Formats: sequence, structure tokens, C-alpha cells
Amino acid sequence: MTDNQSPAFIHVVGRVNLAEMTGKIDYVVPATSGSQHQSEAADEQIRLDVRDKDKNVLDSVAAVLRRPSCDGGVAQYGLIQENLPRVEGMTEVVLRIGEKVVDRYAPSVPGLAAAVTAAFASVAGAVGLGSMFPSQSRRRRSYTVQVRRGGDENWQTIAVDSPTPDVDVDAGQFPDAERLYSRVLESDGFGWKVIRDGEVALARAQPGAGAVL
Amino acid sequence: MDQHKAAIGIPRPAAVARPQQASGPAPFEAAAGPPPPVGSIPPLNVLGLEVTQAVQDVAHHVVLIRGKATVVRAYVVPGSALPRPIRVTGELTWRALPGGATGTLMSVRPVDLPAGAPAHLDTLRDREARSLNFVLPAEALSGSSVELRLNRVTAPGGEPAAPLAGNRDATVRLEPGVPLRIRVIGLRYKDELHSYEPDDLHFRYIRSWLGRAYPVPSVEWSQLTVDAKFSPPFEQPTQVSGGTAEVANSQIAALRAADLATGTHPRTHYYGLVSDGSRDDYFVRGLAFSIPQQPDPTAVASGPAGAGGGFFGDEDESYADWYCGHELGHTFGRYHPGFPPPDVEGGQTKDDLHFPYDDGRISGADPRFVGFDVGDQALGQPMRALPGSSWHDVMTYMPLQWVSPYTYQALYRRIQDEARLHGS
Repeated sequence: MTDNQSPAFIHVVGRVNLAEMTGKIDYVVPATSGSQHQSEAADEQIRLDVRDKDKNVLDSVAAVLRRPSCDGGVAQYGLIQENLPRVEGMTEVVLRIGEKVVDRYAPSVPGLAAAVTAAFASVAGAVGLGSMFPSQSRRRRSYTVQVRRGGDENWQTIAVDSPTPDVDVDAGQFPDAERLYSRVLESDGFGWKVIRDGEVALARAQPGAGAVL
Repeated sequence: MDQHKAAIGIPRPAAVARPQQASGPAPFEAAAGPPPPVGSIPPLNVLGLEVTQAVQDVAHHVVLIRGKATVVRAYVVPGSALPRPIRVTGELTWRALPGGATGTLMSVRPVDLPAGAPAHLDTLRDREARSLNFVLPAEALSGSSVELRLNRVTAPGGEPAAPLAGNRDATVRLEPGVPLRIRVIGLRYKDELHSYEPDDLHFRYIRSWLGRAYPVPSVEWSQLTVDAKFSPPFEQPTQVSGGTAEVANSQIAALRAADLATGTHPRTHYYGLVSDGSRDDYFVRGLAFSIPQQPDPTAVASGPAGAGGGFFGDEDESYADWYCGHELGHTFGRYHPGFPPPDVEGGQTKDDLHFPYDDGRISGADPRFVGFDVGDQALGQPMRALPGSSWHDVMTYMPLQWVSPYTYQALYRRIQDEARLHGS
């Protein structure tokens, strides 16, 4: 991975309650693939709009409501997990139920800033959030923290959408690891940048003793 | 417990006792005590060889998977009534095809044949100690089929082999399988006093159970514990809200997306594990989002972890194993068959209209199918037969959960389909 990445897609995870007409975008994560192989038909009333700074809709995708595993699939709530194409000029993602905007995800500054402390702008204006979806008046830049054993190819994510890059990990979870690496990716949901990358000191990695990444 | 709660996720009822073994004198005893007096071994009749990996009938209608742990059960009875019990052990030869690798195995333990009339095959199948059991080595399971012959049956210690008659040969086909790819993520939460996360034991139980019960040759496993985005008090799922389980699943879905963006295999299923903290009010009922009708490994699930303590008849150190098997089954497209029925406490909706066995059992009223757990010595899980009359399908809410042939075959097809779409 290069330092700065703007993958071709973003992945949106959220919760929607059609009975209460509420919803929340929980996470926006850069994604490398648009393929989902979702087996259910999208619900046309649940839409994710990609907008530019002037609120023009650059793209709009109907989301699949992934209902819970019981009640014969009639529950009126569930998760959404959608890959959206990353569009030039996009500044926010809006979750809509019908014509009602129920949540927005918007970084304050387009693109990634180098400063770890950069903040996200207010997303005041999101409406209709019920008590199960406490409204956030501000979003902050978020951090994804990953670890990898020496010799492993793939990173394992231990924190996503964390408000701070400092995450405790019980490195005792990797008792067989001779080496353990970590990295911190700063993300605005649309792209990410590695801001920390290095080896974890396993000398401190006794069970129960958290190593700060 | 109200009904709508009972209909979502496996609830936590009072402990359910394990069924007692059949009443009356046991026709067979496990060969663990002093051996019966040694005498000449009379002619024996072999009622058949059953090759089993998780559940099977004697005609081998349930798929057998190349590379999956496999036990051959040889059912041996005396040709006529025995005046006294005898203890016997067996020798099995195998030949892998194609290739022709061969080998010879001794039975895992001897079997005591009781005095009196020969037992019926159904009686033998219901207990692991009533068959001569052979654990096939990996080389025997690497081909497209394997030939088997019960070569000899002797008394332990060298008594001349008994004359054998009956069905002492079998050839079974081995179908290709792919590993189950799963990442189980422990979700650590805190209350005012403590931090709670699943013990490593629960991860090990899950990994072992999935390897034993799911139709896969192996489990491509990874595990991790992360800080949860929720804390007590927990909200149980209802018909109008997913509660804490929905928050947990959202986090799991995001972790999965981040992992996949950086190289994790796209066929990997993700499961969130939440410690019950040995408290009823910290029991977060399991839930999957969604039940995909087509292969879709992006479907995530979560469930609780804690000590068995009689929960659904589970007396061992963890119920997280079969509970995960249930929720994960949803992500492979398996629905609730409706046992107990939805109108009783602890019931579930009948979403699978094709489930074939009464009361959610793993066999019909006839004892055609018998479950078999190859066990796991590292976890103290014994090798054991699981009679279809008392064990129930993992997609039910009934006690004593295992996989029925119906669910096993469906899982096999779905996992193979996912591999075709996403690679093995």
C-alpha cells in the first residue's frame, strides 16, 4: 500500500429501521472492490446518495436491507452494507429513506490532511434519528488500526472508525508470533493514509499486558 | 420470556438435562473394565462398515469429503448366541483410489460382545462403544474414493482370528471440499468495574466444533479480540429493534470491510463473539444479518460465549461452539425449521418448510441417520455416536445440537458455491 490511497470504492455500513424511519451510517471504509454478490434485491426506498459540495447528487445507490435471521425475514430493521463507487468531487454520503434524509457522513476537508488532529465538520442537518441512533453533531477524522504477524500476508483490523490512533491491543493474543507489526491508517472514509507503521515490541506483549500501538 | 424474544436468536432457557441412555441392562459395555474370559472366538458376522464424518446412514447417502476427519465403524455380531461375553479388536485395511496407497489400522479400542443373542444393527449404531472404530489417516482420504476391508477380528492378545462372514468390504466415494474460512472476533466491553472478553477456550471450542460438524476438510481460522462499540446495559433484539446484537454486527461488518480492502480472502465469514460474563443480563443473544438465498460471505453474525452449564444440554466448558454453528449456518443460507414451534415458549418461526425430520431431529422416526462426533482429545471431547432420536439439528432451538443430513448437505453445497464464486 502506498502512503496515500484513494481506492475505487467506499464501503458503507449502517443500520436502518423502516418502521421508525430512522437510520445511521455507522462506518465508511475505503474499499478496493465493488463486487458484493448480494443475493437480496435492493430496497428502492433506502438510498445512499453521493453528493458534491453543492449538494448535487453524483451517484445514488439503492441499498439491500439485511434483515435479522429470524421472523421469516419480515423484520423492518437491519443492516446495510454497500459498496459505492468513489466519485470525483464527492464530499458526503447521505442515507435516505424515501425522501427523508436520516443521516449524513461528511469529512470536513476534501482529501486527507496530514495533521492527525484534523476535525470533521458538523453534520448538523441529519434528521429523524430515533433514540437507538444517537445523533452525532460532529464527526472526527477516524483511524483504522491493523496488526499482522511476521510472515503473514494480510493485516487484521483491530479498530475501525476509532476517534484516536492510539489503541491498546493485548499482544498476548499472538502467543506464537515472533514478530508483530502494526500500522495506523488515517481515514475520512473516502480514502486513507498510513500515518504509522512499525513493529510492536513483543517484550511487553505478555498476556494481559496491553501494548500501545 | 415473551414470544417475540424467543423468536430471535437462540434464547437462554433453563438448563436442559441430557437424555438418559436407554433404560434396562446395557447390551454392550465399553471395553474399559477387565476383559471377559478368553476363549475361542466363534464365527462372527459383519453387519456392515459405515464410513462417517459427521452424520451418515449405512448406505453412505451423506456426502463424504476428501480430507475430512473420518471414522470407519465396523458392526460385528456373533453368528449365534454367545454363552459368555467376549472382547474383540479389529484390523482394517484401506486402499486409496486412484494412486493405490494402502495401509492397515487397528481399531481405536476393543469392543465387548455381550452374551446372548446377536444385537440389531440399530442398537450398535447408537453407541460408539458398540462398533469397532477406525480413524482413517490423511493418506487414505486424499483420493476420489477409498476401499475398505475389515481384515481380521481377534481377541486382544493374539487369540486366533475369528471366521468372518457378512459385509466386511466397502468402497466409498470422496467428494472434493474446500476449507471453511472464518474469522472470529471477540468483542471486549466494559462495565463500571470490569472488562469482559471471551476466553481463548471459547475460540478453541468453536474452531474445533466447526471442523468436526461442518462439511469441510479443514477450517482456515483466524481470531482477534477488539474493543466493542457497545457496553452494558445490553438491549436484546426484538421484532422492532436489533438491540446490542445489531450494533455488534455493524462493527463486525466494518472490520470485515477493512480487512478485505487490505487483502483478506473474500470468502471469509466473520463472526462476533461476546462474553456473557457469567451473568444472565450480559447474555447478548445471537443474530445473523441476513440469510442469503445465494452465496454471500458478506453476511455477518454474532453470538454469546460462556460455560455450557446445561445450556441446551451442553455440559462442557463452552456453548459458544454450536451456538456459532447455528448463527454461521444462517450466513450460509440456512433457515429455522420451526422447532420448538413458534407458539411455545422458546420456539422459533418455521422459515424452512422443507426440513424433513420430526421435532427437529437429525434423523426421521426410523433410525436411519446417526450423528458421529470424531471428538477432540485436546478439548476433552470424546468420540461419540449421536443417535438421531435424541440429537437435534443445529438450526433448531432444541437441546443437543448437531448437524442433520439435510443441513449438512445444504451447507456443503453452499460452501462449494461460495468457493466457485470467490475461490477456495
